Amino acid sequence: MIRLAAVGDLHLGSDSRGAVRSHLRHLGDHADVFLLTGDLTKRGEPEEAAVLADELRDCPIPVVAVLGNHDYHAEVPKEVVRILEDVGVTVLDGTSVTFDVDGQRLGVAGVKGFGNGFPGASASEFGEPEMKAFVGHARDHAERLESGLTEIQGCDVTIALMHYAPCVETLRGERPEIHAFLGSYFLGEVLDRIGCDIAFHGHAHAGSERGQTPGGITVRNVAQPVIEHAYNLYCFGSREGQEGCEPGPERSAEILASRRITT
Amino acid sequence: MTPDVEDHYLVEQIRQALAMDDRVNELGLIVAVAEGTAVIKGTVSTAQRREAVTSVVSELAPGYEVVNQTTVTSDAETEQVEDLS
Repeated sequence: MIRLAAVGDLHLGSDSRGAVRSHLRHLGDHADVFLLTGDLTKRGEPEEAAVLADELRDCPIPVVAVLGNHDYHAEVPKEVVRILEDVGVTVLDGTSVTFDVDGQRLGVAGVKGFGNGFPGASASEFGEPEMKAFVGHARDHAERLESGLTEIQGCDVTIALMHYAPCVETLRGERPEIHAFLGSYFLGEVLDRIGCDIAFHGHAHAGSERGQTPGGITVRNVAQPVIEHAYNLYCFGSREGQEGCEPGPERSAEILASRRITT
Repeated sequence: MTPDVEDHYLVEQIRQALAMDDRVNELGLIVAVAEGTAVIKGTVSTAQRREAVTSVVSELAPGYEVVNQTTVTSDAETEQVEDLS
């Protein structure tokens, strides 16, 4: 059994100290890996990343994250990444990480992603340099996701982690006029072409938790305003003789020791 | 510009201010402006940012009544698990 906790859009700032830490004490009883889908900070300031790092420092299970648009606003995303990696967080950007969990190999590929919209209402890589750059950025991030997902295809359970949405279904509740700023069909196309067991994203605060890509890949929008919890819990596979997913012994030390990051 | 046209653009000025002001930095808030009243809805991450919504809008649109209907994002814990087996 592989147990996951996932949340995004924490938007931590100096006014958020203690907001995350208080929920992590028993996380190891319910999850093997903690996934964060970006917008970890309010404005991407190093001081805000330091707040999050302090919150996660003693997290009982491995943490895997991607950045979101807010984490880029101060224009020092590499500093944000460094601060988080210093406390053991794995930050993915077109890269992947694998863990051994309960006899199975778990693979997570991640990327921030970007928006250009969905079929029938997407932007084209045409016209002004700024427009080509906008769509090109979305395409570049999808290619990075493809690279990371390809690396983990031999794993028993594969997860795609991103900030922007790969499908329209988890944007239900958001105004259609802004879907182009919330996600990209390029991401969904990669998921459908390469395949994975589940994709997590955030960014769409007024969206819906559950959806799937046109090809049937399970997608979950775990932006905190959507799930209205400290995190949501998911699991794959039940131990023989058990029904459903139940709390189990904490095994974080052996899981963390098995971590392999591919770049 | 007539007052209703001014209100039309004020909606966006408020939205942009709530996104850019360091006290809030929230991009997805819903704003409606009409007849001297600005109503703001949506979720923010902390109580301080919720209070700041009123301040930011009041400073941008003095003379308008500010109706702050934003809520703070819930971070309640859950033990419900979605089984994806």
